[in-house]
Amino acid sequence: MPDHEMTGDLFLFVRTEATAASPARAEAGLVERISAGDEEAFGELYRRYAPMVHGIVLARVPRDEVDDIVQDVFIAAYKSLTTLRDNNAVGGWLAMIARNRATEYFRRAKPADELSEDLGKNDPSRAEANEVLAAIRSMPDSYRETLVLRLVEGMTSREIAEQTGLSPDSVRVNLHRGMKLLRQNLGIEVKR
Amino acid sequence: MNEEYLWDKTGGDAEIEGFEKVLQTFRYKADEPPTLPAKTFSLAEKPRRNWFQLGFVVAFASVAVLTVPTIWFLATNRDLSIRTEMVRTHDPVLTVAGQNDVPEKIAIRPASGPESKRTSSSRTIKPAIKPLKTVAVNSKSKDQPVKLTKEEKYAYGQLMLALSITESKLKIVRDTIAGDDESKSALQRDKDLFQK
Repeated sequence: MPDHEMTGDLFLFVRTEATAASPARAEAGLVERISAGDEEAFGELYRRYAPMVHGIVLARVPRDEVDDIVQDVFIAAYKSLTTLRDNNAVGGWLAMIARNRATEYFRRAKPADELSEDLGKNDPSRAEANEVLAAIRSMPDSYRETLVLRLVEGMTSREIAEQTGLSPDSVRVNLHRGMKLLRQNLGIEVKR
Repeated sequence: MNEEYLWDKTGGDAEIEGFEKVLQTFRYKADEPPTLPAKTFSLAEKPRRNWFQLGFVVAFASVAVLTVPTIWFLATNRDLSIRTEMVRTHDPVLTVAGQNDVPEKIAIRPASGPESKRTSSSRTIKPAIKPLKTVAVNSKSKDQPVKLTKEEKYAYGQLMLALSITESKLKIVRDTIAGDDESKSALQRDKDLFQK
């Protein structure tokens, strides 16, 4: 490998670390403020992470239940904020709570809960949306979660990595393979 | 497919944009954060937790108040019994309360015989244990008399008797050496004492 390329890689690495550190510091400060009873800080945390939590939950549970579960996730997080070991990792911690809540939902859910998913089929655009979402939900966890965050919530791969605690490379791989799998599930021919 | 658009939304990709448009209906719609639970359940749960903590503290204090004196009492009694046992093992005479007149030095005169010729003069032997003085100082139950068992009382009586006989015989020997004619009468007096 030529010297200038090595230097460029190193520069890129350092920059990535430097930029990744500042949101983490902001997260830590936010958590400290919430622990001190600052309700405004809790609102800020909610606004920052609600789309991510919403996407993780939407990738797993019926849509009608998503909003309630998102609220539950944040209330649960607030109650157990003292158990958070690393204040810089609040995003990954919230994502974990969201996954656990979704799993818990299916443990308690009755078969009748699935009924509301079919009601929107009268609207063609809604039906198409339901079809795509169903195709995404049929994928493995890591792919469907990343795809929902990207395609539904509109987050970039960098934002996904920062908020969920995944590495940027993992997010890129998941997005690439997830899109490939989505096309297969929907029967879309790949153009080269 | 434009990978850059998939990762960073730079440039454009019709297919991905199509998916985004279709799925936009499910996107998170900003709403107010949930009401903080502290406002709703703090009044209900805080007193319960305080009562629990208070109960725990009271229970712990009660156990401590009962346990510490008990342990102290048992430890001191055990210490006393060990000391008493030690003294009894070495010298039963010393366990008797009020026996402060134990001599610190006992003079023994050797009997006549081949070995005694080597030590013609009397020798002095110190008692093996510093007697009741030491025990009384260390023991916290100075005022409590030591209770002797039946066997111990019997042994104590026998020992006293033996001591008195020995004392009488020693006196006879001393008087004989000194040429005192009253030794016979002294012996007779000791016998009378023994018969009583």
